[in-house]
Amino acid sequence: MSLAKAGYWLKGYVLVEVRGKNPERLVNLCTLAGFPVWGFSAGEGSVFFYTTLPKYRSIHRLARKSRCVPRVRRRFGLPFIMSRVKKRPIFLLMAALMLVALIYMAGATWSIQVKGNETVSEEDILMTAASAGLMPGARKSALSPSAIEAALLNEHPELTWAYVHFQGTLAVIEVVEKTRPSSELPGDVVAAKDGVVTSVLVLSGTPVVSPGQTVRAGDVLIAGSPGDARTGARGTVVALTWYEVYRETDLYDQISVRTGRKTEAKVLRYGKTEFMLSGKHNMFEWYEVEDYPEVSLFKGTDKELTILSRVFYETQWVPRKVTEEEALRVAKQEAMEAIERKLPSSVKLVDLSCETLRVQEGLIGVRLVLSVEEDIGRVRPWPEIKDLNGG
Amino acid sequence: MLRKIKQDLAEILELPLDVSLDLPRIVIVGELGVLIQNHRGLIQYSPDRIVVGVGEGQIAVTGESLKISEVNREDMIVRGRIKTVQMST
Repeated sequence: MSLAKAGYWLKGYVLVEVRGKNPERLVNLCTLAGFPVWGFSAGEGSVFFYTTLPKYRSIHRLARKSRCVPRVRRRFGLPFIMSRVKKRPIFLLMAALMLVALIYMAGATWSIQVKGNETVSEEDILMTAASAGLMPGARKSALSPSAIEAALLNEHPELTWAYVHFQGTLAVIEVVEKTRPSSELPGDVVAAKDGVVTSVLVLSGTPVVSPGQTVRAGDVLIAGSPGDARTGARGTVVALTWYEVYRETDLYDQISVRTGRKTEAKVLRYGKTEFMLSGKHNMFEWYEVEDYPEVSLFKGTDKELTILSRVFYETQWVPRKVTEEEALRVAKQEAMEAIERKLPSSVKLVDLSCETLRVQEGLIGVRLVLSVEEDIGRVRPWPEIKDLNGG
Repeated sequence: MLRKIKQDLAEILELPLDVSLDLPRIVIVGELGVLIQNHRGLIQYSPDRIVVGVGEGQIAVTGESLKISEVNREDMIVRGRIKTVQMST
């Protein structure tokens, strides 16, 4: 809308229909008088054009001169809207009330979101925030984010940082929890599983094993000093370990094949409820079902109404011989998936061997052996020393 | 005679002829519209023919769905599917 048109809208403008012998003369008189007229179009025996509301009143005088009859066909602009509104005071009142209610409600907190908490529960944070005034329905203007943040940090020493801000009517509480150093009890580093030690890195304590040595689960790898100082052993002992998985598959399996016999039924489905309209329900022991929708109304809603044709196909199990390659591929796939589930995340693959075994006629087996390097050291805490002084 | 003098003067002084001689200026925008400046009023209006008075003659615009989108003392803009623009003196 151009600036001039916006001005016309503010003043109000009308679509005028002019009937008469010489409407062109009226147009000329209007332009000579400097009236804003635009958008001429011709109807049957008449001419239409737009002019502003104040000038339309003057057009009557010119129309008499040109022997035409002008009539207003449509009205546009603010004065007409205002006059309509004035006739409906309740509507105006309700609109104003709605606006006030909207502004009032937009100033309240409607929901609260907590982010970043792991050990401190959301309920505890919300309870603390509520005691500081932040709860659903609270006025945003009455809340002090810094006071809520201070209350959160005071109430929960596990928190190191808190930030409260608003996104519209949503209050967001962001927190960061303190990271505490691990409070491991002192002890020896022992082997978590069997393996051949490849490297030893001692951070504290005395190494008991050396690279090349075979260890069993539970053997001490790095010994601490259990004396007065009670300095626990710490360090990394990397060893070569093995993971083994065996899977076998049948060279024969069964597949479901349709026999050609079928029964058909008409079903009416409304939401999740179904009604049988006609036909026979399933009469086979083994079967497959296929639905063919015929009529569907209110698609995509939970009140979808569908009439469908349901066909039950009788099936039978037919033995099938699987090729050796396919059986081997399936067995290998299964073995790989099983071994992946067993492997810890931080291991380094050293060697992989795959052995195919023919167990018996119609059965094929696959043995996967993975050699990996991993840290097998685990701290085994010493027993607690009881304080004999009763302190 | 006066017109001839005016034209000679305008040429000597290098003045635009349409301004000094009060002539119409017509701008045709493809087949979409015609701008007629310095017109003398609307003579005939129908959706397939618009005749506008200019100086000592007329300009007839023919076409389909012709509308006068803007009109004031100086300018008139005709829109629609323009077929011909003819000037007669």
